[in-house]
Amino acid sequence: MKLKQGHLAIFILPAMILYTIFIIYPLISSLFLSLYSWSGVGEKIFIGFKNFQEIFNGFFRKEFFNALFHNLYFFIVVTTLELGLGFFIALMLATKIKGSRVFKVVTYIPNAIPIVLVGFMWGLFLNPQVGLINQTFRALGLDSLAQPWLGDPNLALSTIMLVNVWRNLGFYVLVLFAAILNVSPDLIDAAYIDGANNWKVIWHIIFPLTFSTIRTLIILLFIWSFNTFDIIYSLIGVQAGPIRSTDVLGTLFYRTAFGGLGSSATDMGLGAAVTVCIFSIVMPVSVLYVYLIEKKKRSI
Amino acid sequence: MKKFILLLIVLVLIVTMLVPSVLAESKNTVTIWSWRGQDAEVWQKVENEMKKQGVDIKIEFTPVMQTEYDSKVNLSLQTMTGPDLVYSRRLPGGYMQTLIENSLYLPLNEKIDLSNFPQAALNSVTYNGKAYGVPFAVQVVGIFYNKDIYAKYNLSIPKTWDELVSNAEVLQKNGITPFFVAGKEAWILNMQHAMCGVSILGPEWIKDLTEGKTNFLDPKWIDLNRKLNDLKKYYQDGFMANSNPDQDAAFAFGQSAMVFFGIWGYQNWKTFNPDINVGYFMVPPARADQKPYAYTYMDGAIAMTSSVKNKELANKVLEFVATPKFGTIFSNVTFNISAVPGAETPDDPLFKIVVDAYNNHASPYVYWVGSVFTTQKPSLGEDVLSPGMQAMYLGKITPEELAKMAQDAISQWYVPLMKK
Amino acid sequence: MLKLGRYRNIIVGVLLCIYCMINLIPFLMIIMNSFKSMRDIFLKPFSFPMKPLVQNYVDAWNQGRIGTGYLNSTLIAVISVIGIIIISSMFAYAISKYEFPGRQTLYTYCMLGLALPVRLAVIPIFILMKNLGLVNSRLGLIIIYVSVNIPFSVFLLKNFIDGVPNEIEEAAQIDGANAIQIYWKIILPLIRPALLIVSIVCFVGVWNDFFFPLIFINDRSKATITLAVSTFFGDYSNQWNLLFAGLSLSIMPSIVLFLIFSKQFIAGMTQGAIIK
Repeated sequence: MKLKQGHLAIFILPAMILYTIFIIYPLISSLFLSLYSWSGVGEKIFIGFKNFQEIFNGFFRKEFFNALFHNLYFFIVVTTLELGLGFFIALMLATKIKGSRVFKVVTYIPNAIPIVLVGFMWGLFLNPQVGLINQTFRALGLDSLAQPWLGDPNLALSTIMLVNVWRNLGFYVLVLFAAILNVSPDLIDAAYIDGANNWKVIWHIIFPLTFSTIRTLIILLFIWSFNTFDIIYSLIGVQAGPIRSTDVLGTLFYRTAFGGLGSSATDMGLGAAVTVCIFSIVMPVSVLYVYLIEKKKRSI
Repeated sequence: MKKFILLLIVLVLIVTMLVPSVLAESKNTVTIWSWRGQDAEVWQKVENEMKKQGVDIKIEFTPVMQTEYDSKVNLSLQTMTGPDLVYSRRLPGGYMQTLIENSLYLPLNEKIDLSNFPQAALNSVTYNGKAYGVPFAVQVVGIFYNKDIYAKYNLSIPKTWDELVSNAEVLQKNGITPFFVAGKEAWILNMQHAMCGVSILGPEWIKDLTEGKTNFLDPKWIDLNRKLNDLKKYYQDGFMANSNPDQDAAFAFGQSAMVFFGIWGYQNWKTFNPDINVGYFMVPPARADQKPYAYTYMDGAIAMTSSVKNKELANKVLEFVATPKFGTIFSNVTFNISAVPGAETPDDPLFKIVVDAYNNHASPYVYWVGSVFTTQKPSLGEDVLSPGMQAMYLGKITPEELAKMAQDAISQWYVPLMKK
Repeated sequence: MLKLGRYRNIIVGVLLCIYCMINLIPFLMIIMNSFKSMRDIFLKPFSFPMKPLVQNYVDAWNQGRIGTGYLNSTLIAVISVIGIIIISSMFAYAISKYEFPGRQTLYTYCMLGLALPVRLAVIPIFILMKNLGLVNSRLGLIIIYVSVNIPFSVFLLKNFIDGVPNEIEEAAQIDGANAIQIYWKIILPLIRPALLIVSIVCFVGVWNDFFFPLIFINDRSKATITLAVSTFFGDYSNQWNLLFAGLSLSIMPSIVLFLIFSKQFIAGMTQGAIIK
């Protein structure tokens, strides 16, 4: 159908104007800003690719790759836990007919709360002297298990990941549960009649048929893992201690761009350069994701 | 119909959003930001006092978290969304200098009388001949101890480092945590190093360092690192995960005997536990024939920002802050030493000891807050000692490596220590 | 679906119950501790508060400015969602049903946004807002939230609108209706389920956001609930009784709301977030 010019403008322009000014322009501007050094006040100084040099070869290298490594580690562990446990719990839910509504609601409750608040909550529980976790261990006589969870560089990141899983697991359980329910019951019944036991049913029927959902979730988790910031802020702070063992690209970026006690460099140009790097890692995966859902949509 | 109701709700919400901000733009409000949450009561009293003097004023005091303070102030001043008055840091120091150089702090009005302040205080706020703030407090840091616990185990104030260690040994054997250290907050470890340095290294050594006659690779510096590293067995379990509030609570409730802190903590400890009996001593030197010193510094000043909206009223506040009356209010509420001379100080034994340390035993040379080593990046405090002390305590680097870290960092920009 | 023998059934039931307890117990502990005094929290962590200290809640509400936080969060979220719905649906409708030069390009241009992590562009957004004088303003946040959610909303809505048969519109056109009337009176009611999903997902996203308020809002009176609680934790970090009460105040209403609307909420989030 055709449309009058005036009406076209009314429908299209508001979205396009807002989107272009506040999303596209800033992203492109970041690319340019990364070529400058700028403390936020005063003059911007053009330095070409020096920021990137510092990131890949200079004083910033250690911190950047440390953070990057943590993001990858985060992605791998969290995805395995959330999808693995999520799938297992979803399967268990699938065996129940009664009461599944209640379980679904309880499963999702932690997810209904902003991550930041979940972080503050667990921050109190994880206090080494008076937090409930350690108090419980001590009460049960398991004193040796009462660790300084957020103070030990070997434990801090893992602890944060567990809190993250606690909060998010419900979402994955429900999505996977929906995917499992989508598998035609006839297929399963037929398999039972053929004498298959439960494990075979799961492995050969349910898993392959839910695989596309799982794949989509993995891609989403990749993108989300690189966006981590809130949980680390609330449990540790933007310094990402102890000794940067919980540093991720999000906190590194914030520290570099906006400063704060303990930033090793406060330069918005350098922050923009960090952005460009994160961008080039996440963007291909995002594009893949959009491509996949467009493809799926067209094939329906 | 439903859409109409929805629209109505939206309109109501929009109105409620706009109205409070209109009301808040009251002509009589002066906004102040600080990192010191405990000063809220001070400003209430100031407001009352100024009202008594006939000034129609409301003071809105907003504390900002210590770790975010400098960046929040920086950002908000750049965007002209900052407060009228702000607690500034001191000179020499990178933070204050940058803000002054970019005209984000305004020079003080000539009407404000700073002539009574001691020269050291004035130096901390003067740049290129102009004063940029009214100093508000002097801080004294050192070791604060629980007098009741000390009395219970017949311990006395240590005169040497070894005596301090043996005190700790006695306490530990008896199940008391000798020191509670908030390892998660790197600036506290930084402060710990600095307060030990003025006694153990001594002002003469620090003077040599400042003049380039020695450097951070000096065995004395490495030895201090080692002493602190060895002390950690007397800290509470899991100390790297504890922060400042944990420390305050543990000390106040008598779970630990000593803390490395500053007099500003006293207000908090008394609030938690009014019965607590706190004592103070300067970090003891290495040998009995040396003198102990206290690390004291100008905490900061009250400065006017370029975002000021109520300039006349803000000036009146600054005038008041420069008077002894303000000093009296400040000292008595916070138990901190006011920078204003002539203030009436609280009749508190701990306070008197700390004032004595400030007046008679302050180290003339320092290397942390208020020293030349913090004027540029990488700064000795934030960029070297903060992460470095954490790394050393965690066993990631050795005392020698910490020394090398300092030397490498400071020699990048501090001329006397540059490699020749 | 799957069938299990008797014993396995019981084990599964037990495991699921354990999982539920892990999800719920932390909240119970928050509520319990929020009624105790500081001494009790430190020294008697597992005890039941015999004399509930309701004063904790009063203090937390006042000092934490929880009420203001709720007001601001609601305001920003509601206005943002309304903006998102109107702007995105208009765009999606035009892209879906009308032919004009550059139509496909424009759509692809918009879909780019799905792949872009917007948080990273916060520095230029900050500079932009500073030049517009919108730093430290709720309007600024609303503009950001609307812009950020356009790609996702357009995607979802366009798909839905594609499913509306053209005959309905053609009939309306013959009756003399213009595009705006068709949009308002015919299309919008027909895509109500999709609008609901978009509303829920975007509302929750805006409500939970912490990053943008952290960077843009300095004024306590304009803080969202997430920022307000964060500030509260920073100011009162040693008064655990108040902290627990503050947490309780900021978390429990969300949970209660969720429990009431759980069906729509879960449906919306699981379907919608997949696409996000």
